[in-house]
Amino acid sequence: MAGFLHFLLATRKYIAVAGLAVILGFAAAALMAPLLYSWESITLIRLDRALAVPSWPLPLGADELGRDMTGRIVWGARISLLVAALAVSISLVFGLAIGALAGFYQNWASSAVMRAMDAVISFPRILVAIILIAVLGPGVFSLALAIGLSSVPVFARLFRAASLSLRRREFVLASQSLGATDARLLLRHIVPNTASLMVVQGSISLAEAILIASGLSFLGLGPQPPTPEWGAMIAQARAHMVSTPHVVYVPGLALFLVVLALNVVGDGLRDFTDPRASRTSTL
Amino acid sequence: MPVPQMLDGLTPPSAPELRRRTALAALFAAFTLPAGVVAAAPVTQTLRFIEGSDFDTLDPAIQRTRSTEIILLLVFNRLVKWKDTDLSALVPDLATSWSVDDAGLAWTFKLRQGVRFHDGTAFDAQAVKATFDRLLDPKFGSPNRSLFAPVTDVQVIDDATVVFRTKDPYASLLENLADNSACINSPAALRKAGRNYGRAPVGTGPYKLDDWTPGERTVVSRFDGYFDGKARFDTINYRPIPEGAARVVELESGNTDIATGIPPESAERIRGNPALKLVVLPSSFQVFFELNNTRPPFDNIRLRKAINHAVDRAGIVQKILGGFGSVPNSPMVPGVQSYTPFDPYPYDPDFARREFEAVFPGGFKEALVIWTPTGRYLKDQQVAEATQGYLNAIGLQTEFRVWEWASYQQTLYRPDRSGQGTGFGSNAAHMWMLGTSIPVADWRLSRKLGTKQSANLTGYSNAELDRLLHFARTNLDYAKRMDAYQQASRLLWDQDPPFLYLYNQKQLIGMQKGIGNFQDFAFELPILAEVTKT
Repeated sequence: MAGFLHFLLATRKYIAVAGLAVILGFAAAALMAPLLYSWESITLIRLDRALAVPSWPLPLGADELGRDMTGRIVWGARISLLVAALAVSISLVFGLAIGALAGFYQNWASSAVMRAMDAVISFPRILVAIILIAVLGPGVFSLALAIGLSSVPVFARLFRAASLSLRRREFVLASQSLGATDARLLLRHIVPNTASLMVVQGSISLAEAILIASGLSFLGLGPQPPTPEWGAMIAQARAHMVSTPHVVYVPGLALFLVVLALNVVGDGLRDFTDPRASRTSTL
Repeated sequence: MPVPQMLDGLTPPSAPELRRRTALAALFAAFTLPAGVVAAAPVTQTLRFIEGSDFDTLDPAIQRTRSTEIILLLVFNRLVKWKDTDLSALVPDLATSWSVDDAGLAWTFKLRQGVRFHDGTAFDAQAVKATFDRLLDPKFGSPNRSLFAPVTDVQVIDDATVVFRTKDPYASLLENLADNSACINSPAALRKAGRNYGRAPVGTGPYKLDDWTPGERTVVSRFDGYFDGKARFDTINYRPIPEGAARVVELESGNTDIATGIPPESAERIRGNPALKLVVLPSSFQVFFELNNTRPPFDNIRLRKAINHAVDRAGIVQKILGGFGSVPNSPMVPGVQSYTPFDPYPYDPDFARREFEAVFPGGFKEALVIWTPTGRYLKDQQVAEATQGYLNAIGLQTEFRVWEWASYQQTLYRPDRSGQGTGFGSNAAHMWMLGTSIPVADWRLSRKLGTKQSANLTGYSNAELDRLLHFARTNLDYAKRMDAYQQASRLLWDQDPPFLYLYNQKQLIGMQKGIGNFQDFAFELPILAEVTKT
C-alpha cells in the first residue's frame, strides 16, 4: 500500500492519488454507515420535506419521500461496495479455479469447459445477470451472485492464458522434473504468480460490477426498497430531473466518482505491478 | 427502445402515404366533379393521439385493456350508449328502442335499419345474435363473459327485432350492453377471420381500421357509409409511448395533438408552454392495497380498519401526486354509479399502533409482504414505499417487492389449488396494490368482493354484501338498486373494509391549443370522434 502510494507520487500520477482518496473515503463511509446514520433515519418517510433542496441539516437535500439523501448515499455506498466486492470475489474464485486448471491440463475436458465459457461470453453479460436474478429473486446476494457468475468466463479466460504460459516456464518445468505433484505446481508456482493479474483485474472489475449492479437496480432487479441503492435512487428520481435536479445528480455523481476512481486506480496498479509497462503515462 | 420511438415521432411514417392518398383523391375529384368544386377539395385532417400502452387484441370479446377501447369506440357501435360522460342516461345507438316484459326476463330491442358494416354487409338481428352467441360460448372463453352470463338466449324475431332472455331479472343488462365488450361485429367478418379477428375487426362505426402495427401505431380512417353523419377526421393516428417524459416531449415538439397520462412533475412545463394546454379531469380510478383477508393480521376486521388509519393520505396526494389526486371518501369515486361520500379515514398512527398492540400483545412478529407494480398507476411504487414507511412507523416489519405489470398480474391471478388462503397466487403476500376504474357499480364491486368471484384475490367474503349485490342485480327499480349499492359502499367503507384505501387518481391530459371539445369518460376513455381541431 505504502509502496503503491510512493510509486504513484514518484511517477506523478496525482489523479490516481486522488482516485485512491475517493475510494478510501467511500469505503470508510460504507464501513461506518450504521454509526453515522441509523437505518431508521434513512428510511423514515417525511413527506413534509419531500424534495427539499440541499441546506442544513440536509446537506444533500431530501428525496421524493423526504428521506435524507446524505444518509442514503452513505448507505448506498455500503450496498454498492458490498455487492461489488462479493461479485468480484465470486468471479475471482471460480474464474481462477477454472482458468488455472484449464490452462494447466490440456485435454478434452478443459477444452469443453473453455468452449462452454465462450458460449456464455457470447451472451450480453447483463442478460445473463437478468436471467440469474429472475431465477434467484431480487436482493443483495442474488445481485452479487448474478454479477459474479456472469463475469466468471472473463476471469477464466484471463487466468487460463496466464496459466498456459506459466506452465511452460523454466521454474515450473524444473519443479516438475524434481517430482512436484500437480497440486503443488498449481498452488505454489502458478497461482501465486498470477497475483498481480488478480489485483489489476480485480480493481477494474470492481468498477464494472458497481456499474452493472446499479444498472440492474435501475431496472428494479436490485435490493428492494427501502434499501438505498444508487441505481434505484436514480431510477426513482429521474422524473424530477428538470424540477429538482439534485435528487438525480447526487446519486449519479457518487456513482460517477467511485467508478472513475476505481478505473484510475486500476490503471495505476497495472503500471505498478507490470515492470515492462510504460511509465511515461501521467494518469 | 426510446430511440426508435423518438425517430418515429420526428418523421410520422404515414405522412407521405397520406399525402399520396390525398393527391389521388384530388385527382379523382378533378375528373369526376364539375370544375368549380375542385377548388374546395378538403385538406387531409388527421388527429394524432398518444397513450402509455398498446393493446394485445382489437377483438371486443377478448379485450380487457382501456387503451383498446379507445379504438373500439371509433370502429364499433353498441346497441345502446351512454348519453354523456356523466353516465346520466342510456340512449339508443344501434337499437332504436327497447322494452322489458313485466317479469323482467325478456328484453326486446328494435334495431336501426339501413346500417352497413365496413365490409358492406347489412346490420340486422342476426349480427346481434352472432356477436352474443360468440361472447357467451363457454368454449370461446371470453374474459368478459361474466358481464352477460345471466343471458340464457338471444332470439331473432325478425331482421329488426331481437330478444334477450335471462333466467332471473338482470338489472345491469342495459349498462353492460353499453360496454365495449358488447360491440356489434360483422358476422361475415367473424366467419372469415376466425381466430385472427382481433387483428381485423369490422364494425359499423364512423372509422374503420386501416393499419395496426403492434407497439408502433394504429390508424383508423373515415368510413363513408356511416349511418350517423360524416366523421370529422380523415384519419386518426394512435401511437403507444410507454414513458411519460417521452410523451411530454412528443407534445412539445408538435408530433402529437393529444397525449394522456402526463406525469404530475411535467404539469407546470405544459402549463407554461404557450402552444399547449393541460386538461385535468376527474378519474374513476381508485388505487388501494388489497389485503389478504385469509391470513393474520388482516383476517381480523379490527386490524383492517386500524391500518386504514395508519397512512397519511392527504400527504400522499399533496406531496407524491403533486395534488393531482384526491383522498378517497368511499369505495366508489365521483363518476361511478351510486357514489355517495362518507367521512374519510383520519390519519391517526397512534390509534393504529394501539389496535395492533391490543390484538397482538408484544407486536405482530411476521414481516408483512408488500407487493407493488411500477409504472401502472400514478406514482404507484412511490406511494407503496411511503405506505411501507408508515407501516414501519407503527412498529410493523415489512418485506417489499416491486413487480413488472405483466408478471405481477400473472402471479396474482394464478390459481392456487391447495385450497388454502385466497385460492390465488396472491396468497403469498399480505397486501398488494391494485386499482379499478369500472364505472358500473355492480361490476366494480361484485367481481372483486363477491364471495368466490373470479377477481376476488383477497378471499373477502361478507354475507351482507353478497345479499345487497344480489338484490341490486335482480331488481329492476333503479332507485332501489342505487340505494342497495350505497348501503354496500358504507359497509365496505367503515364497517368491514376489505382494502387499505390509498388515493383517487386524476387524469392529466396535455394537448395542443387548437384542440377543442375534448370529452372523456371518468374511466379514462376519451371520445376521439368528438374532438375538434383547428
